Amino acid sequence: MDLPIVNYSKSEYIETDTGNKVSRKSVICGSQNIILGGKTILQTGSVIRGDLRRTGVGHAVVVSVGRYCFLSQGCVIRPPSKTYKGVFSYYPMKIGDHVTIGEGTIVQAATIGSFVSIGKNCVIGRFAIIKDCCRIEDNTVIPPNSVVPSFSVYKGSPGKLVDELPESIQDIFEARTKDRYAKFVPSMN
Amino acid sequence: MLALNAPPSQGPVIQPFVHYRCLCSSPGPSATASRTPSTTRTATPTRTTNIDDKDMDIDPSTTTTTADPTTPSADLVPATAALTLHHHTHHHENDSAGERSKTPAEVYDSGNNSDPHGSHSLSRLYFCDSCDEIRCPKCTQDEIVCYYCPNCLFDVPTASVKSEKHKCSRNCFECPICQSTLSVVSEDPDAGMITAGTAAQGQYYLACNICQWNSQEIGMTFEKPTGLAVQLQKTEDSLPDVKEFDRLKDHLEKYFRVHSLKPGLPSSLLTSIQSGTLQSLRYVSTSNHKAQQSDDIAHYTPAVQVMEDTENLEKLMSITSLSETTTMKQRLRQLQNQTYSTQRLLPQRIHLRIKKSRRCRSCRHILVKPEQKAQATGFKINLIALSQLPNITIAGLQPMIVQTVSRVILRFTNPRHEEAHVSLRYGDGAIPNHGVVIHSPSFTVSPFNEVWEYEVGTMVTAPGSVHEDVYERTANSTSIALDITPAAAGEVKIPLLVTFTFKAHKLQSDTEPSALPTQLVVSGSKDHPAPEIELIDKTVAFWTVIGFGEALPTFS
Repeated sequence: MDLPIVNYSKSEYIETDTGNKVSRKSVICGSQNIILGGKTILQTGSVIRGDLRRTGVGHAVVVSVGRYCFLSQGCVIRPPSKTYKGVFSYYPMKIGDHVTIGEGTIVQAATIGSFVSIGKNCVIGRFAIIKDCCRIEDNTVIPPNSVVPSFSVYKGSPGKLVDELPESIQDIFEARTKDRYAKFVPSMN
Repeated sequence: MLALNAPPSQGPVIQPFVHYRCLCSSPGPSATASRTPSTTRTATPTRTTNIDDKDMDIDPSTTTTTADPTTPSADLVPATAALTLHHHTHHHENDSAGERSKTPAEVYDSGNNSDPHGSHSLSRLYFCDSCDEIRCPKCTQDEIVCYYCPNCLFDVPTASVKSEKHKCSRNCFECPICQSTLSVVSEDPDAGMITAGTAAQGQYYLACNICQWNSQEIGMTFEKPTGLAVQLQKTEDSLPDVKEFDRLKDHLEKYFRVHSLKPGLPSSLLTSIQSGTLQSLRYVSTSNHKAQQSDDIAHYTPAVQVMEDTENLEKLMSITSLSETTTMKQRLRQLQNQTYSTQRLLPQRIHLRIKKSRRCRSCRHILVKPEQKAQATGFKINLIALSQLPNITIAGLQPMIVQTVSRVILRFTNPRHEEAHVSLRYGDGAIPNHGVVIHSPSFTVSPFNEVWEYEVGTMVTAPGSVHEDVYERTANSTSIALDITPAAAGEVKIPLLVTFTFKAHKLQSDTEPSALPTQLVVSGSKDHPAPEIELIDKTVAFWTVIGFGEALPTFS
């Protein structure tokens, strides 16, 4: 089944030179520390906390998001934090290309690879590593410091391996994110 | 669009789908049954030529299933008697080629699990380019490429997998209570400042981030934060059931060595059982005993005396809360130590995972070959159907109402770099027989071109192609219209035979005399084909099952 065309209000979204579409109703903190790869969509109410950066040093990339990513309504991207050697600090987060993050999901992962789909209302724990080509089902909790290997489907609380993805998943995710970007268009009026 | 299909009453919404059928799993209709005139120059597309060199012992029940019209998917088999009769021999051979490697149970399963028509979404299928047939996960053969730990992602050499009992021998443990990954934590939160040389004994322990279990509860602490598996090796080996298992393995291996059986077989058999329970061991020893029909195997005396069941029973009888006992799941994760007491549960090393390659079961060609390294996601060979067959998507769908015509748009996308010709035929005779009118049953689809990736939505009509009466033509896809008149309420799904002709490079093996006599015909029937790059027309026919959601009885 084809994805439906999604119309948005032209006044709500800002389109950058590289094709990112960012809702004015999203919360972007510390935008100088955030990199969006291009053709990434940030929907209404999504939050990126670029202000939570490592203490001390000057300018640093806190959150880097790749191309063709989709941050749904109300999802929260927050860099992971821990106390190491008695000092509390935040650590940078990297999100690859063609990543979908569902509505209301909270992400505190260290790394999310490319071609990853995360469902609605998930919690991705601190310093979790999600490798390339994975799917996290809706309402899943990925524990802190855990690793999700490639081609796996995780589900439940705590998230467990429930299925494996076919070898074609990279092509499917790529086609889907590109299709979704192409169909995310301003409404005519 | 989907919401329109939702029935006003109860039940889950029946989603539209496009499934492709693999011939191996169920009695597929003969693919040759419905040649359209435009493709007649090519002969028999779906013949497998390697039948001869394979064992031909077809399971009788399998054959019965093939011929039996009352199998679960019979409602989607066009029952055009004349066609079936005419191509009967062929049909039979086709199916048996795929069915050969299957047991009756598998045939039964394939008709009763989630894909009741032996059909899959295109994403789960492969396309063998030497057989020119769709292959599903069931008719491909898995081979292990490498073992790796899903937590630390290190490759484990195949040689050491067995001795490590298929578990990670580094630092990866799962929680005995909730099976999530444990982290190594130091006792003192500021311990990171202490250098390794001055570290106190028993400073580190394992902690679960989900259920807050930690190994201090069972008095397990570590001197170093690394190599925990080695540190725990002694504890693991001293478990009575592990001892017993090793002893029995030694005992039987001695016997097998004397009888010059294949040396790898018994130990691998025993390791694969991976069991510490004495019951299963007894079973193995007695069954071996009987099977060998020989009494010269020495009498086995168990090394460990196991606690009587009555003691266990008394303990369990005195329990007041279920939380004091382990759950079945927890016990099954600890096969060598199936304790009832939560206090005696031990953290378990994490099971290894495998990367696998796939082979076509009939021609033995490799369909999928991933890169050797565990962390790499690339493939050296990846003959997925998605990149070789036309991808069919439902691009437009009206709500289905019984005895009312609804317009459906099907889009065919060509993933190949060559122009392709597609012809369609509705499998009439399906039950219920919905009225289906295909407006352009024969059309071309332009080749895939990377340039189009950057010009999304541009309308292109490929130069030189015939203008058919198609609904829409974009970059590398063609959309056609279907008019469907549902005959009965309920889910509407129709069988559609897709015949797909494309230009392909002639394979080296194809040039061998009589290698593929009926499969390939040189384009334009030239007597002297071009010597360098030979492009030939290949035709592939396959059945698809397309579901359009649920038909409503009347207007509501």
